[in-house]
Amino acid sequence: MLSHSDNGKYTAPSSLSAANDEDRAWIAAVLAGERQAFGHLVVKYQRPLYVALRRLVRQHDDTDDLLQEAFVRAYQHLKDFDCNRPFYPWLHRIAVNLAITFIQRRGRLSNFSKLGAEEIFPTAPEEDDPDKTTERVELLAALEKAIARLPAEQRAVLLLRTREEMSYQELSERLGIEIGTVMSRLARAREKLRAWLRPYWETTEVEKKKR
Amino acid sequence: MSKVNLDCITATQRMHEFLDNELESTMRAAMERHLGGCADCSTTLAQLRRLENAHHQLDGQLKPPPEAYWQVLPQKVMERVRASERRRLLALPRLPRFKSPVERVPTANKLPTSNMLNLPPAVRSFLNGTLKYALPLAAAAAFCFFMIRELRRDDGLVEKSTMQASDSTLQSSAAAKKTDREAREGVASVAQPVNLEEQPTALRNAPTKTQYLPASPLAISKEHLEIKFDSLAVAAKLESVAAGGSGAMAPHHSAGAAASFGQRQESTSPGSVASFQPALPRDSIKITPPTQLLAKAEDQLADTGASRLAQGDVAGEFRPAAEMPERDDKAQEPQALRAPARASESRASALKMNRTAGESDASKFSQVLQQAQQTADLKQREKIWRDFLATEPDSSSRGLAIFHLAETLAAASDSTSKLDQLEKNIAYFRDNAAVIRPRMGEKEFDREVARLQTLLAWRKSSQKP
Repeated sequence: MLSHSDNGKYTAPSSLSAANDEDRAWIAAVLAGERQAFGHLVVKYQRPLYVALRRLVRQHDDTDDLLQEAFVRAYQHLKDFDCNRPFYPWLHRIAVNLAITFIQRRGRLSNFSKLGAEEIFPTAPEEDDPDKTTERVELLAALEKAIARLPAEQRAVLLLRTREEMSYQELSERLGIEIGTVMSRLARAREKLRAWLRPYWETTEVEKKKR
Repeated sequence: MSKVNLDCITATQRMHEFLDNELESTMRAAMERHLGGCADCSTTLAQLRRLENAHHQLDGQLKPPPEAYWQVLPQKVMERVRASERRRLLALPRLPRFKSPVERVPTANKLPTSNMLNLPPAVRSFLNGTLKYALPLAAAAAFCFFMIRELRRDDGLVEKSTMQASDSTLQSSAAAKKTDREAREGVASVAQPVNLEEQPTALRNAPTKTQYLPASPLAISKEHLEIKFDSLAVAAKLESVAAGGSGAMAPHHSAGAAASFGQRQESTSPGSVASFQPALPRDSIKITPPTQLLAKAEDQLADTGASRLAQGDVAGEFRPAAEMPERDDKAQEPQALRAPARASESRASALKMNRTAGESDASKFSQVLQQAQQTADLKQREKIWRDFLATEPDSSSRGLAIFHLAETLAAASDSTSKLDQLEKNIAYFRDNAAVIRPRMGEKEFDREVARLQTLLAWRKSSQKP
């Protein structure tokens, strides 16, 4: 499973913001012409960056492509990086920008929405109650398919808000839209998901009452 | 602080802001109070929070990649880095794209990418942007320009060399047309001699052949022929001056002369007219006004018979030199310039007197012609011409007057019923055939005479009892 904090808010590992000296040394080596030194930076930040991208892009192949592209862009613009600041937030911002562009271009993921729960979650989480597990898997699969059905602009706002916990002001700046547009797109996306998932919730509540 | 009371509509609208902690404190307090008393809005909020939790749970359910993936990823990244560097070295054109993610990152000391030559940003942006499209556009524009120029060169514009080669032929045809027209109308401008002393500047400034090139081969103007003749006159005058002759010769403005000259020029190489070297013996060149030549021809007719003149040996009319009868052993001489074998000073003075007389005859003839053309009555027109012939027996335009009188009589024959008048008209045609035939044309003359005879025969037969 992809790591996440208990309250659902993802934060970068503390080690990522503290290893500035190590990062600075590798960056200096790369700028001096030692290209292979950049590999150390890739090994260090590939997993958290993958998680961040996967939560936004949702599929592994797309995440892999964007991850490699993010590292290549970082290498090409290494001269622009201010070594007095931490490296990962800068790298993370490049990756999120790539993901935003990808989401906006992708449109509705109609093929993904047709997949079944077992195809989306081939390995179900282990729980004591298999019925609850099944319900949860089905609900999550339904949610995944519902997200794929959203329009690109609504999906981008929703995922950036829920995964990256960006404020309305940040969303307005990153996406280049008004704050009112951010609020309206977010509201529409949530209302659609709530409507699509209502049958699952109502079924669950009925089952609970029966028990 | 005043309390804000929300209704369900407002609460539903601001629910998402409340969920995301984006409401200000006053509004947030009002929302909490409303949610405490409204079951529907509370249910909506609960569902939204459940959805948020589902998002977080969803990420946890995503299957992570295998461990081998993390071993391969650094190598794949470095390969991609090397490929990007190779692409940059080859300076492959980049397709226009949106603003890159890195460009959105606000960082200090931001330097442009691909700056191996350390060019200024403005120059780099120009090379990467404008120049990329400017060069192909410039090449296309240059190609179109040269194609259009080549097409225009072949369309409508005549090369100078082509004009020079066909100039003589064009002069012949144009001169023939002009002479024909003027012979019919008796335009006096043909017989307007120009005194060299009076108009030296015009002749001096006569353009050379290479300078005057009309756009169309058929558009040779009268001025062109006259200018050419002026050049000829200058050359002839120079020749006569060099030979010690009189300088009082009047240049010949006959179109036939110019045409003859032009035809002779076929054998010469194209070039400046001023460089023309006449092939005639110097002492044989005499330039005579066409009116005087006509009078002289009539005198010769009386002396030698009509054989020569019947074949069109009259000044002012162009005939190819090959068709002209040989008058003497100098048959190669142009007709317009043909002159008596011997020249003398007395002859030059006689020409001078004739030139003056010719000017007055021509003007009078033109007046009579105009008067006759304005008269619709055929009898009156006949009277005008007969009076002219009677009062001007020595006029240089006598031949033309006879021709016009013959035309008037032919027209009048159609309406007359008098047989004797018809016979007189036919006799007039025959008696003056030498004068009328060359102006009317041989076939036309014969046709007209035959018509009059037929008309006479028919009138005779109709009047028989």
